[in-house]
Amino acid sequence: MYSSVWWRVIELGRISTDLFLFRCMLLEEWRLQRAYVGGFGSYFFPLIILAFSFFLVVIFPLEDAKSSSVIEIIHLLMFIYGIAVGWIALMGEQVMTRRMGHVNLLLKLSQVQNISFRRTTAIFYLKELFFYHTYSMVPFCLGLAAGGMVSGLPLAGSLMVSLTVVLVFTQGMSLSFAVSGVLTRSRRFGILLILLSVILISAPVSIGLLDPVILVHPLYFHRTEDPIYLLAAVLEIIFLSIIAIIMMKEKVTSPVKNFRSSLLPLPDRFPGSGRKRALLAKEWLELRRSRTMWPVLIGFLVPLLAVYGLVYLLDRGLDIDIHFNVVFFGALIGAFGVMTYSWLNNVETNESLDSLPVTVGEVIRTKLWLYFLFTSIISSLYITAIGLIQGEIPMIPLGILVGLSTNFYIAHVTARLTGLRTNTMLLDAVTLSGFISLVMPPLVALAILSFYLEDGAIWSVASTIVVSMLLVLAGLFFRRSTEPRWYRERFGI
Amino acid sequence: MIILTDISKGDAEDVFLYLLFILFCVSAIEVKDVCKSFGEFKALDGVSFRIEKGELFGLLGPNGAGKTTLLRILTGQLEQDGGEATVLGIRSTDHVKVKENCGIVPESESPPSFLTALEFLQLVCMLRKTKDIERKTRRWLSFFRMDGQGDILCRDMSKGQRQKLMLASAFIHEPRVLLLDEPFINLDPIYQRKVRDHLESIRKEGITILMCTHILDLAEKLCGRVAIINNGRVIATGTLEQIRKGGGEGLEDVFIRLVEGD
Repeated sequence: MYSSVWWRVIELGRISTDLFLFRCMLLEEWRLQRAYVGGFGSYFFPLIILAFSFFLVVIFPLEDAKSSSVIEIIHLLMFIYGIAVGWIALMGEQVMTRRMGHVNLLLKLSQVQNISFRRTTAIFYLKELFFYHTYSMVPFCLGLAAGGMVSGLPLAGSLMVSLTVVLVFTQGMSLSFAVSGVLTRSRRFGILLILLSVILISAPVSIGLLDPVILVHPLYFHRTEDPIYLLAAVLEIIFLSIIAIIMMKEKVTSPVKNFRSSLLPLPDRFPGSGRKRALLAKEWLELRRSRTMWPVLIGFLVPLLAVYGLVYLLDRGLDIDIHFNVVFFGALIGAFGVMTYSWLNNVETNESLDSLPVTVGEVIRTKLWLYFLFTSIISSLYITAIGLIQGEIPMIPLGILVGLSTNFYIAHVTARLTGLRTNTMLLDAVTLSGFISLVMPPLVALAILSFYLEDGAIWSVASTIVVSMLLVLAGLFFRRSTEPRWYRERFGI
Repeated sequence: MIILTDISKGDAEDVFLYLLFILFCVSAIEVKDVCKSFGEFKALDGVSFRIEKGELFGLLGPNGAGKTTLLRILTGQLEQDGGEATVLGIRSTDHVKVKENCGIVPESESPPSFLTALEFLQLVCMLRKTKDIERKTRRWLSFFRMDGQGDILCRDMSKGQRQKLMLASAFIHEPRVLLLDEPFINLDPIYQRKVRDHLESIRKEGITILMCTHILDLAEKLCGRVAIINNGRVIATGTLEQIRKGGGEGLEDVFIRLVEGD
């Protein structure tokens, strides 16, 4: 069946090599996904996205399409989604050698054929853009339009929202690719550039010299309908894409390095016993040696800071009458941890463990342990810092409780549903719907409760504590059921 | 057939299991009517054979015949659609128990990228709760003349070095059963010989070895009995003499005749 598709493509004859490679990469992505999550999950994923955006708009109608806070939040979420999709490029080399293990991707073609790595990367990037737009943005926009019709939003309004949402997603993706490209060239220069950009943007905003929404061009175009901002958004995307492609390393080689053995004494530093400690020592060493620890930590911290920054900017720029307190931010933490947990799984395929008496469940527990080690400290510091900045010191303990409990719960739900293949399993329709239905209700409940905390109502404090405790209990339940769920699973594909 | 899978864990259990295994003369490996399909494709179609303790058994077959699938079923990495597979009387579905008692060399040599060769062997010992880790790891690195390469990351090693490491990881805990998928692949003739000699010597000590291979002359020299598998079915099994049916053909000729005639 596959060969007939290849021949049909070849027979077209007139298409260029690049287009042919693009199509091959697209087929590769699709087959890889089907290999991971199966046909059913792959085909139904867009339907789940469609249903999600449909109900989102039906439940929270876009009454005033120009300035609704729902629209701002949708844009915010799509920007973050774009960043998450693009972030994978940060580890261009690792994507090829580790995430996929022994699976050979077309991205590796430059190693044996007369095509440059930059060219294959450029085609890979375009393929990613096409794939994620077709697979998730198109159904999202269709759901938005259908939901808008039900909730009374004119078709023109839906189209406008769809256009700007697509643009903001593409911006996030291209920004992520560009930053990744710069970081792969020079880590120091990349970090310096990021810090400089943050200062240059936040300084004029904080003293009221700049309307922050102007910076989010698609959103500003949505509000003003001034085509100059549409043009600016498109040019930004093109510029970032060019930066990403130019900056990609031409050659993926590394000098042979020697390391003195440091595995044997390591297990004594970790809790538990036997295999668990040995696995923790292994994971720890791999994180250090692969230089993945910082990307993992940054990958957790940056979205949290970005959310705070964006909410702050939107708050100032849009005069939304809702105040987002420290407990609200606490409830968001777990949602961003999904990406961090996913990265921990991408350090190594662990294929070699298939021949050892170790189960996937044991490795999941090890990953979760490391995950909490990293994220608990960052989460607590993040909430404390926001509490101090916003002058909500009495709320900090409650914020930390909410942050840690949602983090605990969502990490265990993710581990139970996706095992060691979070990236791809979340593209499975069944898994994704399970994830959304398990994660969204408690998060929404905690977010709503956080708004009532402003009034100092005792019932809202008590309810927040009760929900947090219930999340811990539910997390423990998922922890127990993770091992049996993944017992039969292999480490390799 | 005695199935011993539901006994409590621990070293005592291993000893108990082994005693029962000897007392009741359970076959070291038994494959009974095993079937496995991937969609429409039948990878294994009623495969059956027994391997007794201390045998070196060769599983031969052309590409895509089902050898690796069978090995994956035996090591619990795949679940069969029908039939039963046991190793030392343990059902293959109890994969952790099977792996505790076996040394396994998988089809692809993939030790962890960011551990050194020495650390990988140390990890294997820790996971298998093997004692005297220092001595054993040094011994096996020395066996493969990798003493000077113990501090190199596995990802920086050649395919041959990685294969040696996978072999060392299968031998290091001195298992009673070895399940080897193409163990000689990527090895130079010197190490092919060395590994062959080692396999022969441990077989004499009563270790059971199941080996999938394409290298027929090595199989001819090493294996007491072989099974030839094609299109997911066993088309011949027995000693080399039985397979030749008394003729003077070499194993390669017999193999080609049987596979092409199937």
